[in-house]
Amino acid sequence: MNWTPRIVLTAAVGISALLIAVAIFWQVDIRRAATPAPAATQEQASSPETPALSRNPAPTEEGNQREVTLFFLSSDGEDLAPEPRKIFLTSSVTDQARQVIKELIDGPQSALLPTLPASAELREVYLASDHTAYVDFSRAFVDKHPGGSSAEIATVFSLVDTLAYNFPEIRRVKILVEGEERPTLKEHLDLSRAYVADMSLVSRQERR
Amino acid sequence: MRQRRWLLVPLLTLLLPTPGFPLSLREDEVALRFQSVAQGSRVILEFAGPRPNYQVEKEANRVVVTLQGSFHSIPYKSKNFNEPILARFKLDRGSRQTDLLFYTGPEFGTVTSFEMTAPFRLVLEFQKKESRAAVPLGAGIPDVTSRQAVQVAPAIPAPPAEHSPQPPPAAGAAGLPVQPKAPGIQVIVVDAGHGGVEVGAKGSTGLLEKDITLDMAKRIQAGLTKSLGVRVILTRDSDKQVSLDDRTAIANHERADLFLSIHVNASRADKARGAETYFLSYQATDGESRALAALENNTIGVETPPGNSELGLVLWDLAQSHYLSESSKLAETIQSNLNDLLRIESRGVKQAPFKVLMGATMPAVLVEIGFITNPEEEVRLKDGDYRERIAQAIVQSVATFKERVEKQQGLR
Ligand SMILES: [Zn+2]
Repeated sequence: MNWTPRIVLTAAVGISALLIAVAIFWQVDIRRAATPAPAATQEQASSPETPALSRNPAPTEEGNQREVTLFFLSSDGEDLAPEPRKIFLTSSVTDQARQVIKELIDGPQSALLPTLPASAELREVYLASDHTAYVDFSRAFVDKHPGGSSAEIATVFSLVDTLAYNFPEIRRVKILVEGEERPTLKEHLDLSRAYVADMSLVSRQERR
Repeated sequence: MRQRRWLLVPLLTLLLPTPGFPLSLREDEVALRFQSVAQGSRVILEFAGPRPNYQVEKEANRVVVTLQGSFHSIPYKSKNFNEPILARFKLDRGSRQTDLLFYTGPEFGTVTSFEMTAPFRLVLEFQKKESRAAVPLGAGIPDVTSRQAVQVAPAIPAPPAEHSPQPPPAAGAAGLPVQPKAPGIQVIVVDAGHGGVEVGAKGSTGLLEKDITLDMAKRIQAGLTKSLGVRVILTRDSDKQVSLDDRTAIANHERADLFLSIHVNASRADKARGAETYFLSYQATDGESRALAALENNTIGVETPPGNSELGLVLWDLAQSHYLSESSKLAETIQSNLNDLLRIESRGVKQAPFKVLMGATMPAVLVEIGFITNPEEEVRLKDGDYRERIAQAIVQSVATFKERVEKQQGLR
């Protein structure tokens, strides 16, 4: 059987290559890299059905970027409305989520209105394997928030809808402030729970 | 045997390398997971590195896990449970030593710890006082019982630590009605939103939500007392801070028939205007659905994933969920009266998970009487006559609701 060693060798090389690839992939995912290092890895996990807008195709032609959809407040304050953005197609979901949340903090570029305090800082994003993203903000997330039920709802669901819409890996979002759980944002919505997306808050015209 | 089966599921999950928690642990991190299990709460501490040097001590009102070394706890630095066995978790991190403080609740009895390896995990089981039905630790899993199950020696009760925060009373825990309420609508709690350092929303001229809500609550109290002859209790009658749990607890304790929380709204859109009336939404997450299913099956030993659906929360959600249909009818009546008064087309009744409504054991709504961020509405809100008209519209709505309920109960 003189082909056996060959098969074994080929298989061994193949498996090692695969293991190395997996190891590298994990490593990248594990390291909560602060800087978005563009990588070519594509994350096309099976996306759950979203009854609203058609999901944007993740990778784009131009370099290692992908288009994402952010949800900000409509100018009449009635609902949330989408605004496209490009982010680096880095290999980890948490890193992409971090870029998206920073864009939310930086606010809209159109006539839409911001939903998160501009001076809030994103401290960390963790993704648990039960698909809950823990998003940890600095103190300003609360201190600079205007309060009021409408503004709280806009803040929470702009964040949750944006994350859930762009990342099938994220099904729930739990907000932390300075690493701690808070009972509420400004005495209205319960923040001790993880939220799932509510796409009914997105403008009907946009949902079409 | 059915109970047993449910117990097995969460115990078996212990054998797996922490399902439900990030794998992205650094050496200086300890990952926390919390599970509600039969007879208590389970805490799993997972480490990336080798077995750390640690010590578990039971003190007067807390259990302290001391780790040699400096560790961050993720994802929480602190967490409130407000549960009868486990009240609160807090991290106290030093450069050489890290204390994980678990403040226990009134029903706490014993804590037991054991280890698991690959990855290294320290598991703490917090159990109820004299829970005779308690299944021995790790029952049904040979792999666990063979491991060193260390019964923690009951330490000498230490004097309460100086800064040990007393957990707030669980919403209405003491105020749960023990006898059936009197029929009809006799007692109404009116809650003036915010107060003290919690000023609420602010207008562009500096008008504060907490001042408007207090004035409104007093006007509504006067109107209800005068026109309906009901007993009205305010959750605050001055500019002071009252916790949300206490507000609901007052209503439960007084066995109120209605709970009205009065607020003034805010939006980044200064065009936003008009009143909005809310009642509690029940957005069941996966875990909550599972917990609910378990409750329906009359079993308790269900595992809940970290981060949401502590069983306590589910139960309190259920407390208000018995009244959701009545709450929605009251909300609709108030909203339609306010829309008529303000001549604004309906913004509609809305639902959201408001903390202050969750534990209420009676129909409960939250009314946002207008937008302090809308310059025109801010001017109007400063006008006492305008506020009086809104108060009267709310009083009229309660009168309509009261009449309907009492007709249904055959009292009229
Ligand atoms: Zn308010």
